[in-house]
Amino acid sequence: MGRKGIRQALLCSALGLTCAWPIPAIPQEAPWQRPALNFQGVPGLVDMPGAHQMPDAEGTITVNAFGSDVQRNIFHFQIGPRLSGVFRYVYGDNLRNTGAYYDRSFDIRYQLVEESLTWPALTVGLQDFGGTGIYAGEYVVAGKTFGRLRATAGLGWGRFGSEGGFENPLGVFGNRFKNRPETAVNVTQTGQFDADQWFRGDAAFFGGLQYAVGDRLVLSAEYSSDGYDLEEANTGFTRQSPVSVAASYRFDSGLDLTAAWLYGDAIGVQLSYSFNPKTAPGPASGREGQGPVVAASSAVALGWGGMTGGAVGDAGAGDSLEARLRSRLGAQGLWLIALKRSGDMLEVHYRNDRYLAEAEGIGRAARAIAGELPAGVERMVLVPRQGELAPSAVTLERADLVALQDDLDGSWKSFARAEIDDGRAHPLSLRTPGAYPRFIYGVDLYAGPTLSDPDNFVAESGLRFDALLALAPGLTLDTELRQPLLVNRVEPLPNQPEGESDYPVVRTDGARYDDDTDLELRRLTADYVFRPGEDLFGRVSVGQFEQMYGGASAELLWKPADSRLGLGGEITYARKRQPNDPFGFEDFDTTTGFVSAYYEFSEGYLGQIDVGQYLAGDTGATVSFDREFDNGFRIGAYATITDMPTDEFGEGSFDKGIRFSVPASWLLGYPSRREFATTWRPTTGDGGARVKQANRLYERVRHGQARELQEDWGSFWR
Amino acid sequence: MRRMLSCLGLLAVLSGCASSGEPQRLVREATVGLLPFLERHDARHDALVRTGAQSRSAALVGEGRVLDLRRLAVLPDGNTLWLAPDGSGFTFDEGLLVATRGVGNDLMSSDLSQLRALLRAGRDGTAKRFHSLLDGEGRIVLRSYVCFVTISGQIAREDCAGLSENFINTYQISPGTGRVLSSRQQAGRGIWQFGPIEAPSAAMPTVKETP
Repeated sequence: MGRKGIRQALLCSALGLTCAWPIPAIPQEAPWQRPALNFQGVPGLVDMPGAHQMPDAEGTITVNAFGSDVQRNIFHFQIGPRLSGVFRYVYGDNLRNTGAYYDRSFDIRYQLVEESLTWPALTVGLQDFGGTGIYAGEYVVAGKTFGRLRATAGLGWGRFGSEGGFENPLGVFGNRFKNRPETAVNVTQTGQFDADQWFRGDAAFFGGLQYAVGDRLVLSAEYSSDGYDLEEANTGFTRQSPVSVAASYRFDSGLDLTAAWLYGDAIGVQLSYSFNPKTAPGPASGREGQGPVVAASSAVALGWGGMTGGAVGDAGAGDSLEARLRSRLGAQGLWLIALKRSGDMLEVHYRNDRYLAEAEGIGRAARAIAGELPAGVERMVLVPRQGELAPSAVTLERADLVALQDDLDGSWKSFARAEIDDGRAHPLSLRTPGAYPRFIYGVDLYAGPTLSDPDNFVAESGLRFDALLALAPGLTLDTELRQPLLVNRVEPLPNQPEGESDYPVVRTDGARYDDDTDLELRRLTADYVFRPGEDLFGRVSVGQFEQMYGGASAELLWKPADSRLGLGGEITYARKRQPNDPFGFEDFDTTTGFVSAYYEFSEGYLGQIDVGQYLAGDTGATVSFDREFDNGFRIGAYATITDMPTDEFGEGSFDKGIRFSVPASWLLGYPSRREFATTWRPTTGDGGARVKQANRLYERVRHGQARELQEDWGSFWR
Repeated sequence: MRRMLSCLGLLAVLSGCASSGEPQRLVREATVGLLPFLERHDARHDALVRTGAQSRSAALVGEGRVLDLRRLAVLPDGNTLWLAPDGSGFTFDEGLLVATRGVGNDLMSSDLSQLRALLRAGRDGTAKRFHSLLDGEGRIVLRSYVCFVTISGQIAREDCAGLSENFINTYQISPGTGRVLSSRQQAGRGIWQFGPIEAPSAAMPTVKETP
């Protein structure tokens, strides 16, 4: 069978099965619960995309190589049930005819129609929509499953229309669709959204068939409409055939291994690892043992109070209430700050050092305290404090804890009976015994990207020392010292635009600050947080804010406890620090200011828009979008567009990045507030740059408010 | 000098040099919990052994290891809480397992009132059973089962069917009261076999191997 014959056979069978199926079917076979990934790292055939999506929230890391010239590393994330995003990092030997070439690209896919008994799945996708454009292509693809057989057929543009193309059918909407503008080739033009190219120029059909052999093995065959023109021109790759075949084997551990014969020319090997933030690697409820319980009063009388409080207590019945509570709470990783008694109510201020979900700390504190409540005290007010912020105070009745401890619906009922009000009504004062001063510190290992090497997850690693001293109500001294141990030096200074610039250098000289392994005062600030009114939170900070800037900053946040919306404003006078002098400054100074809107969508989606003036004097906006799961796992992305021209910004055209935060409790199964978090940026530019403030209000306030407590209340009885 | 400081700092991290002690605890718990040849140990259990608290055995079927549970507390509703040497907890209502902590995919709470009523009455019948669990996101998930209960002498059998799983529990009960003496009950990651309550003894070993 000739090349044309193969093409016709594959396309006809795929199109025929996809569009004219005689038997209604929906995917039920085990392999289809998670579709196979193609060599672009998205659900699909061999190199062509498919119409089915991964399970909601699934993240997949894919590494592949075919031939000797191209290696792709891809992260695919199922942002929602229908929407997915892709980040791709490709190494191509001489791909641009300039020697070793590294390419970063982003895709977005949206499933228009889910597969049903009568309809195929239908998905539209933009590949490499905001990168350098070497993989730029758009597609609409349909897929239908018939038991163990899945058929896929699609129409592609750009790269997907570069072989076997015909005049764009969208040309009926205007001649502008018939021609596709040339791809940008100048590196300083990369990173711009190529919206004027989308769905333009010739279109072509692609398609293929997949068969699930058992529950672990999927065989795929496809007809590709990707001409691989760039690879043929610049590398040793020769596209001999439009047909590729692959076999994917699925292991229990989330690993998929794929072997392929691609385009009649090259063997390809691919390894994928899938994980889902909704499912922790360990047991769903974690590995922590028995926590405190509210024992029968006879048990307390027998001297069991300590152990039912969760520990073999140091403090006995003869000790003071404060000593006993300090011991009980301490066994739970909760640090007693202050006690106040008024009438039949005991007010307990504490710091939660252990539980990411504040509700779990509240539940454990309540049960540990319940066994120690003095006669005549039946209510407790729990005020968890992080630093000097206490967004909520929770009032609980001992009788409710007793009644609901073993109740099937105890979680919801206890939330319904708890009174959650503003922590503002329960302030501490200088006269409160034990409240001030308070000092906490910690030493830790760190690793992450640097300003000069922002896309390297291990650009710098070393030791970090943090300390916080609470001096008076609202007033803290906060510091962070770093001792770099391993530093990846980047020379020459990256990403500075050629020639004279109209803008000051505010970030692209970051290598001056990254370039040694001396002990570094990363941060030293005096912060004052206060409550100027109902639902209002204020902050004033003075000192060295971050690696490159110090100064003075003021912030005001409006965030009612029951509101999805938050509004804020921040103004910062920033002065550039001297790289090797912890307290020295250089001449450059500027004022930045932003107004911000925050919104909590349902299902843990968080949106944020900041509009204002950035460090280089450019004005614009940052749009951020994150998904935060109730277990604390968080993944998101942001982009900043300002009035700085893209050629002034340098490579990448504008600032953007992806970020994630993985709780240690998710990873290890043991309770901890520790999170492994980082932000990955393709490049560092001077446009859209902000001063980093460790103590911005919104996240700290939101995590302590009633909406967040409600989301986490399932762990109250943990 | 710098290298020496770095080494000291590294040691500080590994020893949990934080005012809260939390990094130290996390490293310790994760090391003990994740390495199969190390066993987690809870000081509360030692104290219960020393004071001669009531004991009963628990074994995860298929694992071959018998845990010495010690009674930690009587709860206000009469349920009893038992602690294993590794710190995991089992709560019983007249011998019926109603909650677990730290055994994996824990049973947060349950409603077994219909089963208990049949056992007390000593008669066969259908009983609905309700479980409250935590999912991977820390949200409460309720599961319900319809169970056929048959009682033959001192042995009761509970055959349960749910939406996504089926299981069978068997109980040795006390004639007259219906109180469960020993049992084989499904919970968390498997089936547990619980022995009868033994007389208080301070000499009981914390962990023993099955013959």
